[in-house]
Amino acid sequence: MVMITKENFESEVLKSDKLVLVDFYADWCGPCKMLSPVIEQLSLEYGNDVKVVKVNVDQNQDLALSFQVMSIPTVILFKNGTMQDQMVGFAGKDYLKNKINQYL
Amino acid sequence: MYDIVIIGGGPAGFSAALTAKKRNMKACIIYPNENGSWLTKIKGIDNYPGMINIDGIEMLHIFERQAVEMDIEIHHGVVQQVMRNGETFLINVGSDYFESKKVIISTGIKKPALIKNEKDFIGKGLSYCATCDGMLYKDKTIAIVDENNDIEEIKFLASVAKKVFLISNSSELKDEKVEMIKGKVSEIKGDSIVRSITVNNKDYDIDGIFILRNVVPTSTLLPDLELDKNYIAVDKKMKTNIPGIYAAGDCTGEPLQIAKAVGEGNIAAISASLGL
Repeated sequence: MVMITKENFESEVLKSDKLVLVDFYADWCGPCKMLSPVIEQLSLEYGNDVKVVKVNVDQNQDLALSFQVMSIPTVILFKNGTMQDQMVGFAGKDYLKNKINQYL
Repeated sequence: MYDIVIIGGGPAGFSAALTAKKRNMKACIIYPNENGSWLTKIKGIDNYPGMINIDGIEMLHIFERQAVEMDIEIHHGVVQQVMRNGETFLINVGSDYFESKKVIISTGIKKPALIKNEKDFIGKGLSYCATCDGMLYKDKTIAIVDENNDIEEIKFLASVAKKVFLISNSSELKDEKVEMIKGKVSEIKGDSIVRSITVNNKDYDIDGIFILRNVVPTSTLLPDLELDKNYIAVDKKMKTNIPGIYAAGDCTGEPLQIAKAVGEGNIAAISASLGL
């Protein structure tokens, strides 16, 4: 899974020709740890249809700030360079799949 | 992976934990460090068999001692959320989480008094978890509403933030970054995110607010849980509408009695352990 930083955010997320799911997380956050295996399953299940990436908010506070990430985990869906949807807190796999399917 | 996780450390929770243990379940019980059970407030109980005119707090200590002696796993913390994940449940406690096949809720009837607009700002500058979201407020101005005297969490937030308004009637923290305010937050204001709070008719500009309390509303804990008036709806086996989730004790309704809670905890643990 690609790790996103300020440097590769534009090329990997904004300029991607696919739907991109960005998981904003931190190592010390319980709900993030809960979400992590779900994100990995989604990445496998959607394969080439959805690009799944992660942002460590500890190391990328500017990125987190620019999308008003104020609670983690936060999952943001991007398409054609714009934010489509933002989900705050741990959400189950079915919920996330529903959201992804809306924008595919 | 646990077989059964029990949330809440009152009579129902301990009863469920004992039964789960006797049935060889891999179980644990989770409740806040400062046990918020109603039992702590009750004096001179004389309608519970085997204990003569006993104060609630003492009864609770006996329950706890029995659990420790029986090697029951106890974790201290506030459960923030329970989420289904396929066939199991994930239970979030601060910076940690537990995975379990079944869950018994025995959280009692204490309901938090929500602040005006509180629900509108969850995740938009309002957090219940210092260890989860604290670092996102590095060098920012925050308010801490202290309802559970968790001085460690307050210290952690104060070490991260630039400025802290600590709204508390009990905790004290000597730190030049921390401004103590005695009183209650009457309102949280903002637009798409939190901007300010009102305390004692005065507004304070903030970037974020942390509410540290021992009680999480059932609607936040498990949003899909069916309620009957203000109580969790259960059948005679203590099953809720969500398969795998059971409830016992005061949270399921009247009569709010210790004996009833203990009985329900026992039934819930038996029901939950069937098929495991």
